[in-house]
Amino acid sequence: MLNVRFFAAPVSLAALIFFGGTAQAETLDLKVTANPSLRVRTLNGEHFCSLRQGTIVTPIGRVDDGERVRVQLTNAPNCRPNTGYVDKSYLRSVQTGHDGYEQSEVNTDGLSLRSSPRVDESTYKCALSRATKVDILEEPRGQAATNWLRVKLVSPISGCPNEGWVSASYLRPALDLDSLPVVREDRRGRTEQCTDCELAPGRRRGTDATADAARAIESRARSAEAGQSPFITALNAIKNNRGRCPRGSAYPCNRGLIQMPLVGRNAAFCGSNHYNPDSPPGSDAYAAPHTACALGALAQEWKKTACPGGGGCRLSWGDISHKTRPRWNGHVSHTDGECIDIRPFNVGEFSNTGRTWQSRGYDRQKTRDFINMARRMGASPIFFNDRQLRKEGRSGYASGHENHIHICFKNNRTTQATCNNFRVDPAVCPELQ
Amino acid sequence: MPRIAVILSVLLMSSAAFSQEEAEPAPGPCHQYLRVFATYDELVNGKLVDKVSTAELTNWSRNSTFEGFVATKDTPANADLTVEFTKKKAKKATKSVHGGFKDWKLDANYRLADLDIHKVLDKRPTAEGTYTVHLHADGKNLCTETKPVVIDAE
Repeated sequence: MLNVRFFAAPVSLAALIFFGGTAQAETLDLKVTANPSLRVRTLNGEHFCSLRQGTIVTPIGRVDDGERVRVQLTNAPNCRPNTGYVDKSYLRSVQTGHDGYEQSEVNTDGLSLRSSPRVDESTYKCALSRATKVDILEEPRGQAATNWLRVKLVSPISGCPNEGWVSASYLRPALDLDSLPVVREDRRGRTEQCTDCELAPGRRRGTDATADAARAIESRARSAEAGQSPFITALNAIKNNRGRCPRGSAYPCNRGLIQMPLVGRNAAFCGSNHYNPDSPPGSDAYAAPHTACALGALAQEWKKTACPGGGGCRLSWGDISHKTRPRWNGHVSHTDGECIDIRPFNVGEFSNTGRTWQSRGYDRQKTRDFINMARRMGASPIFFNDRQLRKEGRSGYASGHENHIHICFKNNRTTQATCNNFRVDPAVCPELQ
Repeated sequence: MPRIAVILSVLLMSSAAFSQEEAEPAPGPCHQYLRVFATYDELVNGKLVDKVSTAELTNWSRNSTFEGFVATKDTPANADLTVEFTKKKAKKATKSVHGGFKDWKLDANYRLADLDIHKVLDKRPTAEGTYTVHLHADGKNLCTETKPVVIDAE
């Protein structure tokens, strides 16, 4: 069922006060476009409620990562506290143009305008450039919702029809969110907004950082004395703290995720290799406790039994999840620390270059063995487009997965059993000891 | 019974033929002359050691980046390289970079292409398409090879 929406122009009094009473010709309210809902998080990235598609929120600040906006949750009485942080990609201005339609703006170059909501050569009409303004005429909801919008060009463009369909993902609020004040967190974890400061991510006062480092060292020492792996102890501490990072965690921890240990830029736990690392180091290596445990177990078992001598069978992994940003690098599934990208294996010497399943030197047997081992330990789903492995039912198809295996360790019974049975072998995985 | 055995054998052999894994792909057109490379560090006997990998030309995406191109010993000394990026559905290359080759400290068996591939290939691609290498020497085209540029974030 399609709903055609006509928006009035709501006046946002809070926004007027916020901007010092400056009269605004257009509203500053934003609408949630994520289908079916958008997660609301704390500044630290912890999810505490969700907003249904279509919910109206008022932006009151921004995070200097350029991706998150602080919003007032007046229209979401189930969300407590009544402010939170959301990904701005899933917000759209409800500002209206002179004719009463909701107006938006193209935020990429070459957005295809199509005759119908379908990616097909026959539907392509023309390309819209960045900053093109459009009126939104129709927005499918419910079961028909597919992230398409029927739009009308505010100003005619030569070679383009006046109306057509575009992907909603490439429209953004036409207002300038950069004018919102930057949000920061003080020593006591309280947020405050400053209009003239620049927040350096991760910057902390010297005394806080020193105290935390001391607690981390002490925590590792206590674990070692008790004969436990400090890494496993740190994972259990997160679980026992209701999924939140405890102060003085022995391993870097943020938003309930733990960083998989790195030895160098690429050298990582259990003899593995971390390819294409992000900056700062380790920021792309954050895993949920159950995932970190299972991944550690898998890496140890792989090294011990399948690849003791290294070489092309050496485990090489890329993105897990980001330290602070649930959504990053275009990912939609590497959000909560449960999924890992892994390179397929090659014959012969280890190589830190990529390869596809169709590359010369690709080692299908080793890749098959690895997928089997991962699945036995609880990995699901597993995506990798090797035609033969898919035919064997070992992996599923997903676009763009010719050159990496996407595996997820969700919190299922098999993963839990893997974790419960995991004993760190310091000779193989000294980084987890 | 022997006839049944023959029929069964033929059926089994046919089945084996159809389920046979694909043969090793043929080398690319520039296989004789060019490689890609990536540096990394590795723990060796308790110490971090810097290393480099070279490999055949591969597709470009977040999960298969490399740092540049190198020429093998079969490549003439006066060769030069052009690398182009062509966006999907575009008729012409949208970005291009060109350079010769110079000595490479990391591996004396190769020479390093003196160009910045990141002028053509984004570390985190935002547009799909292809990259093409054109290797020339003495006014002649030695080889041209094209590989996909893929957005593989999921």
